[in-house]
Amino acid sequence: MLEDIRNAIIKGNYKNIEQFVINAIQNGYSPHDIINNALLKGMEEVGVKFKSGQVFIPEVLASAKAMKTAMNTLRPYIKKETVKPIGKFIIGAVKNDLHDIGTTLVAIMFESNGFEVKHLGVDVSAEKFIEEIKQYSPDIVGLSALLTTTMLNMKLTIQKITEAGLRDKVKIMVGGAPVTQEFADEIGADGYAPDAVSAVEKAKALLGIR
Amino acid sequence: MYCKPDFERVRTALLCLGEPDRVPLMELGVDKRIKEVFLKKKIETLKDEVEFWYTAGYDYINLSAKYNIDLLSGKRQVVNKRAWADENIGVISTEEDFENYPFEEIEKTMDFSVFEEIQQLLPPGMKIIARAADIFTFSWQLFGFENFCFAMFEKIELVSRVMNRVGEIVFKMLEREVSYPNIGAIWYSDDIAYVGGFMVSPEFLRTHLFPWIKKMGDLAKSKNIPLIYHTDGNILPVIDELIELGINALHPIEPKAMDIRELKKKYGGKLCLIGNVDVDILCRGTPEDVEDLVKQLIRDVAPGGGLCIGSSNSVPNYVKVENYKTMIETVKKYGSYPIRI
Repeated sequence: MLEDIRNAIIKGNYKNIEQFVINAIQNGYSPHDIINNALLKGMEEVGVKFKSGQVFIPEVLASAKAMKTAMNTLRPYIKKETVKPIGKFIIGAVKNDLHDIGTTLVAIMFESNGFEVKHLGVDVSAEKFIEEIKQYSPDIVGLSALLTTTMLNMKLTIQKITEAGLRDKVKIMVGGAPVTQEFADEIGADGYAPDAVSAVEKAKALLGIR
Repeated sequence: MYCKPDFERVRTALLCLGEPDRVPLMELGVDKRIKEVFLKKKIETLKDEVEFWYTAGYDYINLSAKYNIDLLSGKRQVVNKRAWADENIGVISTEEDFENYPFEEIEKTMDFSVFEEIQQLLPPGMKIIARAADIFTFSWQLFGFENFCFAMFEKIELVSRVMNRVGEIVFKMLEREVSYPNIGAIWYSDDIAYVGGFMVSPEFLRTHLFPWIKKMGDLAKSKNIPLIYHTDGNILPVIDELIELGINALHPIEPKAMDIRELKKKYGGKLCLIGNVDVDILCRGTPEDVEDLVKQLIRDVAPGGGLCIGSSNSVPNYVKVENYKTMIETVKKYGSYPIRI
């Protein structure tokens, strides 16, 4: 039964996963078991396949939709305290950058690896990031940019977070098409990752999570 | 440094016919601001455009028919009760949306007059590169990207019909463009990948996009002109197929996505490589950085021909003009064959 759920995640079978989850619950599987041994394992495999070029953005979106459907089905059965996120993550495209598919994929990967995620959208000012850090207390802040010109706003955002006295409260990661490790180092980011799956690995490493 | 335009050097490079007299310069697009600063005048007419490409040292001008791009990409309200197209939802979700979409209006209002006007303005030696674009891109824009992805699973017939209809429009436009005199090549652009790989599966692209590229390849062959294909990103797994379909040249070889030196080793003599000068260096580097980069590119990839140099995407308005100038001057200074760097 857990195998059916895991396969539904891997194949992006968002139409049938609800029934598989209900079957599992009715047969005595706990939400904790379903989440850890079926849903998260399934998304982990999706991440591996995405990183190795076996599946692509549509398949990842379908798997994410299956994950979301499964979680919604499980929600009435979950006691709040039994499912603790491994960390809190906020992500957005920096000021003047309007592309969001990349950040959506990263958010999906973080969520399906047990993070609580808040997606701030696109064209996010430094002030907005600061406001969210104060209100939401994330462990990791993700900054994304698609263009060389908007990438420069990552430096500004980090500067303003520092000036606001919040720099040591968060780990800051950067990513996007023009971004490199060298640039990340230059602007004082804590981490850079070239893709959504590596981003999760890097985030876990920054937080000391295995 | 002045260089007389000669499209033959471009043709020689694009078709991998050996070493031309020098490495050609090539760009898909240069922002108007850059052109105006370069020329020290406003670019207002087609004559001004020709003056830019000629003065900067290119052997061609690339042109496209004018068409309603907002309509073809779904940025306007056109269908039933739907208001402005949402970036994620688009304007086509159902068969009814498709049936009601004013594709005919796009075709009827296409304007090819620029291909007539250019005939009196082309300097000797320069030719026209006929541009077409975005069968895949317009199709997913019409759905909205996320909706397109889900439609690939739930409504593949509709996706197929949209891609076919958009393909018909774009291909017919291209057929008419190449019917004009002085067309030296076709340049088709359609992003199918990013640095991490393909946006959608190669199987989908084989079924829905590559048949159109094959038609373009056949059209190019029938006119005895090269076919250039532009896509961002890493497309290594399909390059052999694209060559079979009739692609002669690939642009822009983003440095983060593919290694141009490895491509030259594997495809030298079969595929011309265009672009590769990192836009990031053009934006944030110094003229010395640009000169070094271009010299290394010439030294490593130019021998044997099959190389045209330009930016690794296009020249946007935030590129430093002195870096752009350095790129083109370095090619002119060091790009004569035989290469002696």
